[in-house]
Amino acid sequence: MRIVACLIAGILASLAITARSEPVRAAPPSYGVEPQPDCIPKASSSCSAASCHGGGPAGRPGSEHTSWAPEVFSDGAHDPHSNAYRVLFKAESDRMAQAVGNGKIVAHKLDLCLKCHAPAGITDPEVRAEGVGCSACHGSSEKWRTVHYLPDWKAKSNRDKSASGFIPTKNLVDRISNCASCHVGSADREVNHDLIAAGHPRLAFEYTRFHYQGSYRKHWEERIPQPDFEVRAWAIGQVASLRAAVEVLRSRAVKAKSNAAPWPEFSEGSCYSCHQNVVRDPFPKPSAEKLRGLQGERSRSAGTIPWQPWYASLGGSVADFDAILFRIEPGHESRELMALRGELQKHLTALQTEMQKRYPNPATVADLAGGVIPNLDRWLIKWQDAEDENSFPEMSPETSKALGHLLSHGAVTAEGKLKDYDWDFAAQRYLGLAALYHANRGLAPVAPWRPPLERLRLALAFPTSDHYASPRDYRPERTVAPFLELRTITTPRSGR
Amino acid sequence: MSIGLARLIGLAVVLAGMTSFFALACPPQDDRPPPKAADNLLLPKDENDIKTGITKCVECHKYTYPIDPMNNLYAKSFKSHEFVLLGEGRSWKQDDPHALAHRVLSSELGKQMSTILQDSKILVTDVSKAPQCLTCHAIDVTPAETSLARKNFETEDGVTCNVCHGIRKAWQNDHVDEARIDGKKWIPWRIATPQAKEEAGMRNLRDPVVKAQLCASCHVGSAAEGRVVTHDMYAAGHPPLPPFELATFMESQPKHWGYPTDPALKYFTPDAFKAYAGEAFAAKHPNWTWELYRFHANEVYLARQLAAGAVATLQAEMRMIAADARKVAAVDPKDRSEGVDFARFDCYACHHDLKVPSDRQARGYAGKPGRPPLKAWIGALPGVVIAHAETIPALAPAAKDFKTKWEAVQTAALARPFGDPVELAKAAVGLADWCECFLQASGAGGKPVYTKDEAEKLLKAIEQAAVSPKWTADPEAAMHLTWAYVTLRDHMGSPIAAKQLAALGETITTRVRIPPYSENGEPVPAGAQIGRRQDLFRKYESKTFTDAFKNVLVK
Repeated sequence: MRIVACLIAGILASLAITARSEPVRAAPPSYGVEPQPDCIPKASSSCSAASCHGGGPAGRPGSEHTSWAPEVFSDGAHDPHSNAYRVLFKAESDRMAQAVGNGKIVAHKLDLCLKCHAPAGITDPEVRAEGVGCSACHGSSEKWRTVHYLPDWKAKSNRDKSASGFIPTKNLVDRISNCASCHVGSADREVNHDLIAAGHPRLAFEYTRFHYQGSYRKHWEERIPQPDFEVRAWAIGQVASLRAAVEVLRSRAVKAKSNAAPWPEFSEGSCYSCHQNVVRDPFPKPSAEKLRGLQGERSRSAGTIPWQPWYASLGGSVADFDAILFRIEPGHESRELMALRGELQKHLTALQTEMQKRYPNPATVADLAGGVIPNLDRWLIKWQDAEDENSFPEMSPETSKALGHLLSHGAVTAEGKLKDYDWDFAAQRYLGLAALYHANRGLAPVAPWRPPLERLRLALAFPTSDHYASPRDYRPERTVAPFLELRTITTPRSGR
Repeated sequence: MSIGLARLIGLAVVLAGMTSFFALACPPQDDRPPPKAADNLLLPKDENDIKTGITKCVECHKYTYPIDPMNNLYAKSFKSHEFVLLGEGRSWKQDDPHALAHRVLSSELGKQMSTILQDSKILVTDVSKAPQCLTCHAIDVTPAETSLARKNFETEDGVTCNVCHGIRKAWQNDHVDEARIDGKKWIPWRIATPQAKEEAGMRNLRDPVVKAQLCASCHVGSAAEGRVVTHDMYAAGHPPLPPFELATFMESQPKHWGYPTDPALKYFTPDAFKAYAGEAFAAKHPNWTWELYRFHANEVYLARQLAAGAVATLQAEMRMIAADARKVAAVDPKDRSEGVDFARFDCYACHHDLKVPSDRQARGYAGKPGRPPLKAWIGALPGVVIAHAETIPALAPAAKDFKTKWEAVQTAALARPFGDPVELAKAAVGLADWCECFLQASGAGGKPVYTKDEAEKLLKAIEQAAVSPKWTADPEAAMHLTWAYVTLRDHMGSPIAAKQLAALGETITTRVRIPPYSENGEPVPAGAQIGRRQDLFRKYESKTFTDAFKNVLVK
């Protein structure tokens, strides 16, 4: 009897999956997310022939290498990746290297630095001098250099190309995961708090912000039109970045178990929860402003450092993003997706709880982080497939509006309080809303977002005087009204 | 005998036993027992031996100044105004923030802290009732009780006379009259030994070490007495505890007592003493100023207070660190879920706005960058005091080894983020014990140390430290040294000119509290200066401070 019941349940479940949304492929190893095969990187001289990637006007096909190379065009724009190795020769780079490397060390010889500043050239000085050259982003070309222009190669799937060490950057999951392996970190690449305190800038990766930064001279043309490109890139960026952040954390925790890494590792926490002045003048008069109850819900114990609000406050919402991007109506999510959503949430919450203890136990953290990674990978693989199969639905104005609503609605409680008073929490939401606005070129349906977005920007901005690199005058409560306005603007007339 | 009384006595015995067990083998000292041992005598003998209210005290200590010797009852009858000020209770009530200690817990900030700490499940009741708060903000009427949960408090008047002077009724009754010596003979209270007064329950606050250790037990903290401001409490809104500098805090309280070296307190002159105590008693006690009142007429009074305060403060912080680190170290690293509390480290190592370029990065770090160090100020003034002591033959033996002990603590604290708990506990206990020995040695022999010449050398040494890059890099250390310097110079009769002091005050606060101390007959809360102090921290630049400080130096 029980077997019959199980069979019926199984049939019903499979029908539900078929009818309501696409199934999630059972997890084969993803590609691009994990480290690439062990191939020998080649210097870009093999790429830069005029007939290959070294000719033509900047930014046009055929000019990839010349657009990347700093010395070819002098239009003010440049690709910062080509400077990555050179900056290691600056005096401040050596000062950082000496501070973290026990002195008498120069940055351009320190593996810790080279892993990101010349990732393909740890052992080969010729490749190293290129900094972040072709191999760093497109993969070590030993196995595909001589064939990648042939029809057979072009007919290969991304998965097959990936097996040769090629990184298919046209697939946004692949591309952004690869970017994140430096810009967030990976198992053996990290910028920890020691290095930040020594002078390295904080890593706060948000793909679309980096992609569209002014003066970044790109050597490619996007094939996906707007708004689809930026909407997808933003959502994928959130999840891929969180995945990379958890991988970094796991690696740190594993090392910390044997005292091989600093622990607790402060760069896992919100920078500005500590890096803020603690009392303002007059004290304690402006208590109404200081009352965190007014600033936001108290989701953490007093004195707790929030764990990774930059990456975790949105990256964990992957199931919600998925439902919007794939236009799954509320309540019509397949059981499989619901199970994935639940599993991720369970693992992520457990990790967050441990990380927000006064002393997170490194062994526990390593286990919990290890539990989160495959649960994020399942979603990334789903999206990776959708990228390869070109099966992402078109990003309609309603998609942007729904994402905008998710971001603004999620910022404030029903009582009109911020859900979290951390700067990172609000800044990530602002960047998401700004990406959606930009993706739609400021036109309908995002045109009315501009005034509240502008107010959010002002509330979050760092002081422009005295070289401040933190939000000195940040008052979380000032973001409430713009978030509420955006919530109202983006509220659907009926249904979602 | 009630159960409560039996428990009280039992605990007193245990505490007394523990104290003697932990008594330190220090270099030779005078016959004075270690200061903390006196605490046993201060424990009430039974529930009837406790008196906490201020009404009785204020009956006599209520007068406004100047005292009229012809009409004031006590001045006229006993020349009390030559021994004490007679307006102590009034000053306390009117000017002294200790009087607000419990009231502030019901302020808006107190309510905020209550909400946050209860929401965070750190407190089960509001701050005006929580023992974690009352150990400093009220009167602990169960001082022998080691469990916070079982402690009882009187909260009506905050930190009253009895909190510092002793809650036992015996001395409160006796001190207007006579003291019993050796259980039989009665002699006038004023000339009873500190030991006899302590036996009646009066804390010997004339002893700078006793006073410094008592003040530091709240103003720095004491884990043993449940007096700990944790990072959770700070995060909930507790004002940052300012660095404790005994002499500055005494002056800024403002003090409700006179220094025995003040000309107005004529009792403390040889002739007046002889007249009061009698020729024979005076002849038998040639070192009466030290023996009975713990001062030397030819010392700069505040110099000794300052020195004792600096070392007792360091000691209190080390005991706090040791207690926390020991707790952490007791748990197997595999199961550890607590570290040494953030509050034991330099608040401003983390709590500062970030800048590029960064002063901190330019100056470099003692250990690896990115690891919060211990509070820098805690070692600045003791370093000066001890370096000076090394030049004084009587103190030099006790002063040695400081650097080794201090460096051991720093190494353990920087070994990893928030320190290696095992090594930190060991090193902090070592330094705290070392401080105890130094403090004992500082009074040994009953000989003057801080004569005018030596006090001037000490002042000069503070001055040099205050402009040394070693300390100017840290605003709290710079401020702590500034407070010590300004106070000592004032006391030594060469105050800094108002204009230069004001200019220095634009770079860092020069006093922990500034007049007016009173508003509408009530003390101005200690928190009134915090906003400005923190604002100056935010703007602090070592060069601007150093330039301003160099302008106030004695030319």
